[in-house]
Amino acid sequence: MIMGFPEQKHIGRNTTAWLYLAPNFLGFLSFTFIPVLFAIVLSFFRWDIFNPPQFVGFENLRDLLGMSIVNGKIAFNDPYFWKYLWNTVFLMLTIPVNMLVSLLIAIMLNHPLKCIGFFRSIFYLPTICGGVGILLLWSFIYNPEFGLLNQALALIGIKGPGWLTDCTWAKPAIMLMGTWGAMGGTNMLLYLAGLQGISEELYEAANIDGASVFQKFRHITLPMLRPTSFFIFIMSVIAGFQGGFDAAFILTGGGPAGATTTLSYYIFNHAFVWFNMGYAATIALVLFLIVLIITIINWRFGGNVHE
Amino acid sequence: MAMNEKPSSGTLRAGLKKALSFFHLKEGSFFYSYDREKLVSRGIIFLLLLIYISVTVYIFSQSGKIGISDSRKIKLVVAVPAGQETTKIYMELIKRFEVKNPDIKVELRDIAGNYYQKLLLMIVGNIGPDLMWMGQSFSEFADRGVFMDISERLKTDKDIDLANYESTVVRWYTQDGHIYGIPYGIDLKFLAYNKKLFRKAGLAYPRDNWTYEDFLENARKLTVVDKSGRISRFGFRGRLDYSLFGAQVISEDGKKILCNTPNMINYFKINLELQQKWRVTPRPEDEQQQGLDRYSYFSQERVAMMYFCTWDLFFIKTRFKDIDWDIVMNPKISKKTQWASSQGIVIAKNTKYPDAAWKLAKIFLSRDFQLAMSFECLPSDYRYAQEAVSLHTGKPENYPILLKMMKLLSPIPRVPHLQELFAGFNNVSSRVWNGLDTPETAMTKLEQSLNRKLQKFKTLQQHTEEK
Repeated sequence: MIMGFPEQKHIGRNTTAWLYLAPNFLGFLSFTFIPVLFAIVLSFFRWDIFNPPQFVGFENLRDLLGMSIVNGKIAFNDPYFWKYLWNTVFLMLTIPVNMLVSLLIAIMLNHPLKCIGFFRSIFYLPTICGGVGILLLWSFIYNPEFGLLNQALALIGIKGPGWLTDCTWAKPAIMLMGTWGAMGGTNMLLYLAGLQGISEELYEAANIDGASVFQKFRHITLPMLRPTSFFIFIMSVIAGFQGGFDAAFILTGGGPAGATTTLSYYIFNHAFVWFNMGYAATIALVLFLIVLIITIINWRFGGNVHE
Repeated sequence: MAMNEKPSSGTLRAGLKKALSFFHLKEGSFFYSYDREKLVSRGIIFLLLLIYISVTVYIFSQSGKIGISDSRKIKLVVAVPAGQETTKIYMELIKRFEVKNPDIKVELRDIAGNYYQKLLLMIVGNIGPDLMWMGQSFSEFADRGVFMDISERLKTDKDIDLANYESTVVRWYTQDGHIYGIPYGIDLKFLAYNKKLFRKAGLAYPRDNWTYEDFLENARKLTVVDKSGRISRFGFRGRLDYSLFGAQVISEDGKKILCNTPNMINYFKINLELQQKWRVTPRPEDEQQQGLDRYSYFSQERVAMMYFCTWDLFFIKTRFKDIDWDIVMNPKISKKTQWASSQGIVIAKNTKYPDAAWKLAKIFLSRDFQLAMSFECLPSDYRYAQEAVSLHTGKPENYPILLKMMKLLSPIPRVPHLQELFAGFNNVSSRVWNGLDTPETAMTKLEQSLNRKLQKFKTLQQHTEEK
């Protein structure tokens, strides 16, 4: 045999490849694929963890999404689900702002300045330091009396609210925190990579044509970054639907008056506080379907970005 | 024939096709292949999967058996919420128990944070303890058949005389007529007040027979507004309990929602008046909880009166040592009641050693243990409660009123799904305190929502019973 590998080596190569893939594959199977399948099956059961699951068909789904007539009025069977879905969507309103700020930072950091590595590290820092520590830091910033934010507002004569305890301000406070965390993180890095992939020749041609900075940004940078923006948008939407748990769990307990409870926190409460595993799985399934539908729409719509 | 050479015979191919069609396999599908190379690769994949499934099944079947066997002794595991002071007492008690019972080994698992969630996962994972600390969430677990019924043992065991316990106390760990435990301690909520601030305001110290009018008058006089119009000290922090208004969220048997009553509406209105009309208690927007612990309000004289619980006693005695403070009973509104909860040890239904577990559970009701724990809860045995009160020294001077409070206990009914039902109540209440809903609207909505939940729980119960 002149061309290719001998037969034995061919088999060995495939086997080696499979063996390399096996740990990741088995991990994915154990901790993602099987649990997801289990959750989907579980959504058709009532299960309080202690007793055997009880098949209830679509009853959980009806309790979650259905409506009934109460005192002559149509009411949702689970009004909290809709409220928390709204909260989740509301918190995602920052996605365009986050993207814009990330893009601006990336543009700034794309210039060949001195110590640019230092600045890039500084802006990436919130992503490295993420977690409970950051949330606690924000709880100090939001302290109504001694917090940095209200102290700063007091300097210009404004009495700041109880950021995390006031129904009106709790959501914006969580959103601001999210923007701070998202603007300099992975999104910025992706934009930076996207910017560095744009050919200099395009800008040179634009310069010859006498294009202004804004025109270059509008007609070169933005269109060339469309695939990156599209990717960031999809990932942010997916993360947004799954997000809000850590802030609710650590900072607000979902309050005040459920203002910061998101679907993921609601799922946690049903599963691990109230022991309604089947119902929690149903909410998770609905959340999965929402994310799936939005992703499919985005992909179809976003197909244009490659044209 | 080379190893990867496909059979040339059309007959073989046709035969294979026919055989595979029996399994509804089509040509080109994953399983349809007689290519040796692919067969070997796929064989390895299936082998790996087989190993994976076998290992997984083995691990699941072994869960609960790992690390808890001790051939020499009976081993009991006790789960309690972690606490620096309480753990010491538990350890001491267990040590003495092991000396008296050398055949029994006791392992203490003190669980830090999210106690009930972790306990739940331990039980589900088949590594649940033999005995466990239980408080407010008793019914959540009892309803799911987690605990051992000790009714018969209590009848025959001469060491425990239920006559020494208040009927409310005995009912705490009772469900459907079955007793699952007797609490060793009672948690009480009391009103602490700063005596110096009372003196400064020219007020007499509150007495245990005071009324709502007395309370309001004192709170108004104790509230201080500074020159800028900002309230620098509130007369009172917290909310007067709804039981004082004769209101309840749910009936004691857990079958009826009672939140939408004039008494409950009155509870909201009076507390809202304290916040908004009289401005004697902080509104949610005045609350400065983040980063400032609640003890600081009292120690920094930011409030003159506020609620604490018996479990705070150990800490606040040290924290408030430089403050002249005391405690007083709730003012009488329409009823004279005291919010209360309990601490107790219950036995797991599936313990391997029910007799040894019972032996151990009894020592949590002993005089020594109840007195040792009295720094954070009042002994539930009335005799030991009296002894604890007589042994008490220092602040608060009015500590003996805890004995009076024992006669006015108004616990939250221990009903199944309590946490879920009360999460709804707390959520809706929060809307009222924040001015998003009127008490009437909120309670009407809540009543509908809770009734729907009750109906759901009832259906679930019926299904379970039918099965």
